[in-house]
Amino acid sequence: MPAPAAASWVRVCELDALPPTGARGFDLSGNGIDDLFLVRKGELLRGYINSCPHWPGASLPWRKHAYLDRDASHIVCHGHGARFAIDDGLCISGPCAGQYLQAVMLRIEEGRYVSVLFPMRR
Amino acid sequence: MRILGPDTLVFGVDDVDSCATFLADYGLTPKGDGAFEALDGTGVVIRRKDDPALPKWTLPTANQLRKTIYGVEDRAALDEIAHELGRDREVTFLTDGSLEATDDSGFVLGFQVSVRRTLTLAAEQINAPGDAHRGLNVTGSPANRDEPAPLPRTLSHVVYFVPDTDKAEAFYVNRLGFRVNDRFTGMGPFLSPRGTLDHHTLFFIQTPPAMQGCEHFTFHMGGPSDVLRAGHAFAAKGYESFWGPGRHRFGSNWFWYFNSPLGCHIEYDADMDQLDDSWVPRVAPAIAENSQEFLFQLRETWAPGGPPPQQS
Repeated sequence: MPAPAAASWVRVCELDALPPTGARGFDLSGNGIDDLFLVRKGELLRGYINSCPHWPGASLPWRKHAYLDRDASHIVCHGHGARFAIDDGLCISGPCAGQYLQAVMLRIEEGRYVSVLFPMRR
Repeated sequence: MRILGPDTLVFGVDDVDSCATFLADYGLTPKGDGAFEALDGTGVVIRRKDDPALPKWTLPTANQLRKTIYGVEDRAALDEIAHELGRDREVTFLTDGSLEATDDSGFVLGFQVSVRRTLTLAAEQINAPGDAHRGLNVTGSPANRDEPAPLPRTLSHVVYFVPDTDKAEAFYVNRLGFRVNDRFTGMGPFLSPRGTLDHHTLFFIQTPPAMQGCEHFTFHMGGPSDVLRAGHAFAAKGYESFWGPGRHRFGSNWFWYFNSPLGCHIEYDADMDQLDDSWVPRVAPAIAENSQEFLFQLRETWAPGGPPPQQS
């Protein structure tokens, strides 16, 4: 029986390491697929689990860190083109319209590190 | 009516530059004007979504497969298709000699005397006890680590999301002479036209109407190792594996799917079953165990052992 999952805070990067507008994926489990990604757009910073609600477990980007559309207006799943609002993860078009990406809690530590509350197996 | 299979898929895309880099890194050769070719001349064309030269787009789906162009054996086959489809729909004769018509699901089709060249490349050769094929002193693994990745040989198949697989199937079977080679209940049929022995060049997946579009398209590689080599090299360039590598049950093709900036998946495949008229189609439920024989996931290269023991 696997141990129950528990969430813990994981420091993933410095805030300055994120592009002012863009996304960055993190493979915290070392499985070769990003577990989660951060999106920054000016003052807006959000984190989501890398799993499309259409086919849970399906990875979103088409290339490492490529989670957004060309003008960085939406998050896009590059499996079937579903589009999600950056600020709340709501799918506004595509096969999972009306469903949400799973958000992850973020906090800024010491004024410069981004930490995520990530469910990890103990 | 000898249709050989899809010659060219025409996509409308948001970001032409990203798609061009992606398709070239996948292994297709840029031919200019948005055209990308496999070794036999089949391939993909990308255009900006709003390019007025593209057939109009009426579906809500994000990915835009604007046209599937089939290669046929000869001029007589084109005439036969024009006659057959002209009975109940508009058939347009384009200046390049091809035909254009729309299928019963709403996908725009083209038909042309096929551009594909006959390949004379050997399949991947393997050695087995009692049956060695590769030849003496020929290495199966490339002699150099920087050997270029193997290239896609020919456009293998395209998969459509459709709201009514029975209706979609009936058009290709009754009007274009395709045969159904296998079927997943609750999902859809595997089809191929008369001019190929491949298990499928077309597969339908039943979905809600809002999803109608292209699920993926695939090029044949020279063998299972080529699928793994090409996929490994593609992933090493930062592209995102979606599913695979593995081996399908129906069709037996080795597979490895990737996400794409075209908004659908792209696949490498190899070693698909070849069938003739004596084949008896199978029917099975569309469950994971029937979809694939086995599935693996990429990991970084690693070797057992460690640094040499420290000298005392």
